[in-house]
Order: sequence, then C-alpha cells, then structure tokens
Amino acid sequence: MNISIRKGLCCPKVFMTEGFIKSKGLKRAILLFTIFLCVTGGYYLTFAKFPKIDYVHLYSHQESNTLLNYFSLQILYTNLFYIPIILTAIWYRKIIIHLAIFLGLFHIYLTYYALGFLVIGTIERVAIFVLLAYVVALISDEKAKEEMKVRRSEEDLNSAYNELKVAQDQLMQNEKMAAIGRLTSGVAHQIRNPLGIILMGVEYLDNTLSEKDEKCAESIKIIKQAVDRANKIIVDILQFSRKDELKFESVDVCELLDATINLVDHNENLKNIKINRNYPKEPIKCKADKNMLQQVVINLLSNAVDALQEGGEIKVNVFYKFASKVGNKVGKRTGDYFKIGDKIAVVEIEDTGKGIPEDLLPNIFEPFFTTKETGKGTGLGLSLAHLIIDRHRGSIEVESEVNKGSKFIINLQPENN
Amino acid sequence: MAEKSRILLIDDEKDLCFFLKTNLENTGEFDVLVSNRGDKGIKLAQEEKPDLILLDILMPGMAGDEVAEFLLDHPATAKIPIIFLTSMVTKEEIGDDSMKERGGRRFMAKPITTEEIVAAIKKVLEI
Repeated sequence: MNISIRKGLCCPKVFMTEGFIKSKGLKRAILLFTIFLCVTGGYYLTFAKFPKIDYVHLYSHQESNTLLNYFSLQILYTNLFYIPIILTAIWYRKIIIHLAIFLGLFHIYLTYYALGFLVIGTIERVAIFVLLAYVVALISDEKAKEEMKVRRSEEDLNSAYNELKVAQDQLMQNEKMAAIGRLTSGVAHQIRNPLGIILMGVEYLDNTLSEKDEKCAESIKIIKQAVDRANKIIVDILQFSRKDELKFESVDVCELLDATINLVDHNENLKNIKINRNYPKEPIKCKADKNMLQQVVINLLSNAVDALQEGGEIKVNVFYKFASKVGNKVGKRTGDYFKIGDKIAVVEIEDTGKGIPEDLLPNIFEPFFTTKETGKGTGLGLSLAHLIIDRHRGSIEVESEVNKGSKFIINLQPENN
Repeated sequence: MAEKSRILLIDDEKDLCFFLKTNLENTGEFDVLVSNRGDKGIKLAQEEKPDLILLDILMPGMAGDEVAEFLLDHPATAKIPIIFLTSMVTKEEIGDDSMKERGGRRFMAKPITTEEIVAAIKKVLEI
C-alpha cells in the first residue's frame, strides 16, 4: 500500500486525468493528429477538391452531385471536429474554449468560403458544439478536482501515517529505554550492596589469612578485579538509565577531540595505530555537554582501537556540512533535529579495522549488544553514545564494511544554529 | 599511642557491617560500634557519642536521611560528623576523592575499599 501511495506522490501533475491512455506524449500526439486531420481535411475539401461551388446554378447543373458530395463530406469532417474538442475537454480543460472557438470559426469560414453564404444552422451548430465542449470540460474539471482531493487526502493520510509511525517508534523506544532503565537501575542498586560485602570480605581475608600461598593471593586479586568489573558495568548502567540535566556550554570540537585522544593515547594497544586528524582551519564550535561528548568520543575511539588489534589507522575528520536531503533526523518529521539546509557540525571517527557484518549493523546501538568477548564490553558503550548524542539533538550513524573498516559519523548542532 | 577513634556504623546489611567493623578495627586505629537499624543507631549515638557516624541511606524502617535529620536536630548528637554510605551515587560522580560533599553532607559510593573509607574518616576527623 505504501509503495503505491509513494508513486502517486512522485507524479504531481494530477490535473491529467488518468484514463485508458496514460502516456502524456501519446495524448498530445493523438490530439495534434486529430486537429491536423480536421484542419487539413477541411482545407483540402474546401480549397482543393471543391473550389468555390456555384450556388446559383446548383440545381440546374450536373454539379448538384458535387454539392451533395460536398455536404456529405462536410458533415463528416465537421463531426471530426468534435474529436479533438472532446479529447481536449477531457485531457486539457483549460485551453478548451480557445480551441473550440478556433475550430468553430474555421468551420464557419470554410462553409462561407465554399458556398458564398452561411447554411442555416451553421452558427447554431458551432455554438452548440462549443457549449458541449464547455460542459464536458466542466464535468472533467469536477472529476479532476475530486481526484485531486482524494490524492491530497491520501498524501495527508500518508504523511500523517509516517509521522505517527515515527512518533510511535520513538515512544516505543523511549518506553523501552525507560523500562530498561528502571529495571537495571533497580538491579544495579541491589547488586552493589552484596558487591560491597564481597569486597570487604575479600579484604578481610587478605588481611587475616596468616599463611597465604601464592594461589590464595592470586585468587584474592582475581576476586577484587571481578568486583571492580561488576562495579564498572553497574556504573555504566546507572549512567545509562539516568536522566541528568546536560550542562550545555560552547565547546571547540577539535580541542575536545585532541584532549580525548591524549587521554586514550596512553593505551598500550595504541602502539601500532596511527591517528590522523583532519581538522579545518576555522574552529568548529558546538553547544554541548563537554563531559558527555568526551565520553562518546572515548567510547568510539576505544571501539576503534579494539577493532585494530593488528594495527592500522584511525582517521578523525571534523567539518561543517549542510543538510541536503531527508534522512536520519533530517526533515520535517516530529523527532527530526535538522531541517534541509541546516548547518551541521560533523565528527567522523574512521578505522581500518575488521568492520561490522551487515546483519549486525541494525543492532549495534541497542543496549547490551556486544560482539566483544565476555568481560571486555558491557554492550552499553554505543547505546550510551547514541543516547547522549540524541540528547544533544544530534544523530550518530555508522558505515561499515567487513575487513575494510568502520566509520562512525556524529552530526551535531553547531553553536550558532 | 593515640586514642582510638570511635565510629558508629549504621547499616542493615549485617555481613557488610561485620566485615567493615573487622577491617576497620584491624587497622588498630578505630573502635567500631554497629547498629543494623536506624532507631537503634540513634539511641546508640546518643548514649555513646561516637566521633563519626557511617550511615547507610536505604534501610528498612527508618531511612538514613531520617536518622541524620534526627541526629542533627538534637544538640547532643548535632556535632557528630556523618558520612553517608550509599549505592545511589556512583564513584564516577564522586570523582577521585571517593567522597563527595553535597549540601554539607558527605557521600561515599558502595562498593568501598577499606583503604578508601579509612582515608575518608581521617580526612573528616582531621587525624
């Protein structure tokens, strides 16, 4: 159903009544051909075949046959005149009166020229057929208007449907996130107490065991690390479910990126990785929560580092662009943050790593989705990044190809938007 | 040797109290009193007048903040410093200090290591 509606949208020339003949070119050809037929037929009959009939001696000469022939042919070709008129009336209503009047006058002229006078009923006949054409045009116009109305309401319905769908998706997503948030923060709080006991207990053992063998000491160390890890997950979860107010300030994106890269730079895994920065000469400024944005960049950078276990390159590109077409968060829908033509501050973080398989791409921003081995990721990093960027009224997208690398694109509101 | 500081620990988690008490006392610098209920904790505070109170916030019956309010309202206990132990705030919010002061109240996020709690107590008691 959707597809057919979209097709309708692509063809805005709704004044063309769609009937048996759909092609605009064919309609035009048929019309021109019939007009041509009328005009040349009339011309031929009047000027070439029957030049000036001698009306006075009509009945006393053998020319009566000629006249009869002329009349019968004239009836035939004047009827022909109806064809382009009616077709125009149906297809191109607006110009119908001009065409009808032109053809009617042409008809009167031909008759007058051929006979030297006007046969009774000629003008009436022309008047009737102009009137008839006008009526047909009116009917056709009504029909087209109705059709247009239907199309319009279809369009309205369609856009309302799309808007509703977006709103519903957003509601569902928000509801889902809220439910996850409530559940996880409850769970997290409950878990922290026993974690505290474990930590204290292990410390107690550490202090009081008089004869600690190596294995025992190692076990204590491992338990402490596990507690630390569990706590880290909880901190992530709590952060995820929390709706703190963001502290917006003017942030120089390149400066923030530099500071963040310096933070990550101590990472041992960075030995074989080159970080290339492509910054513009002019500073790019955003209204953002510095800490939150930094967290997003840290998440993306550490993902890139993880993807580059055998070394490679990370490219950090920063630039302004203008929203040129409707897309993710771009458009007039509810929930869109950028309008067409809006300036967008873009941060791209690109790696030459192993990439993300296509079938996993739709899931990567879902909470708790991770492809890292157990214990390495909480599966909250990217969803947290998504959440943070969304709260900045921006968007985050990913492009990836297996064995070639991944590119995360953050679209942010520039400061002066 | 200097006199041991007397700490009152009010927390409904008995196991945590046991380990925390033991670990703190093992340092040789503290005497720890324990109460697993808010109301009993108040009574103990009034009777024993400890140097510092470690107070859990989420407790059945009388919650930690009610206990604190009560203690602050009574002249006998109003001057005893309180450190809230809670699982509500995260370490990341508290920052590197592991203890945060907000509106005159000190918070520590669970799970806490003995080392962190000893440092915090010493900072508050200025010893």
